Amino acid sequence: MKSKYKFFLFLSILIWFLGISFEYIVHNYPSLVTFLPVIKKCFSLVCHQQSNKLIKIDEINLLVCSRCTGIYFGCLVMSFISLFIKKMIEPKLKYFLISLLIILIDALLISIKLYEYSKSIAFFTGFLFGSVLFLYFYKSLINLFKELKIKNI
Amino acid sequence: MRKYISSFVCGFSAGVLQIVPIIKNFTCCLIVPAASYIALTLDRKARNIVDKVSMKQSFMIGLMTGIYASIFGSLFDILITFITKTNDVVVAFPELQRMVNNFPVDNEIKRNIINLFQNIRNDILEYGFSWLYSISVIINNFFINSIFGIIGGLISGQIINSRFNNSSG
Repeated sequence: MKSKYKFFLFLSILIWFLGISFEYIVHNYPSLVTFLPVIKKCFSLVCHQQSNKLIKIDEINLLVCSRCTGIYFGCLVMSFISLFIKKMIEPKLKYFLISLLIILIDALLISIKLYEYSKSIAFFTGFLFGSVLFLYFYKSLINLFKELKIKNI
Repeated sequence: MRKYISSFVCGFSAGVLQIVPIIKNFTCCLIVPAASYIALTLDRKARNIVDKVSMKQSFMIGLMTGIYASIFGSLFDILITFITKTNDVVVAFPELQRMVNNFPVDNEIKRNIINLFQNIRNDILEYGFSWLYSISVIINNFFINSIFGIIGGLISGQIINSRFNNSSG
């Protein structure tokens, strides 16, 4: 994939990630407070936003739960790595299934109250899953470009 | 329409999951992508496709699932708000007021923001409908669900193809 496409992908994920940190940004740039309720509502579509599951930075909440934050952060890190690597790892189905299984096991153990919800575990499981998801997404984009016959990708 | 019937069914389900109270608490960023995966699998089964799925097809199924999810999600959101005369904006209004008041911005800006949301809240409490709220919900849903639908469709296509590779190899 051409560097400019990789950079665009990284930038898009970074913008999305800045979106989930919008409350934190507003604390540094208070004039943006007008957009906060709209952005918050926007992210409510993709996350339950339960207050006890949100990550806090300096007592300021991110707009999505720990697991979702982990997923997006995993995608962000992998997209950043992809900027410097010519050929990314070929995604294998077992990686995807394992990372999904870890999330499901964590959710199951919490729901049967074997242990309490842990933000760090949720973030880490999300991070693993997000990283694998990015590999699939990256590969699918390459294949899509190939099908669309875009040369020199 | 018939071409994207699986997207219609899965988009409808995703729209319901995103909006119905209680079920909504289980909503996650994986709902629409998962709906795209199921739509793609159903489409392949319905058309007896055993070969690799094309990424263009995955893209379109994902996009259509996202669009249907946003249509039904918006429809149910507006409908439930109309029937119950309450929603997230009404419930979260006191918190919003407190939050805005805590920010170090001009009182005029604070007043404008609070007035804007106060108007929306009053419209919803009185009539069960607010133009501004409805338009923002429709735009939000279309934007977010279409993107997540496309991502889900593409990833699903790749997953199905890698499974195909594994079984043939």
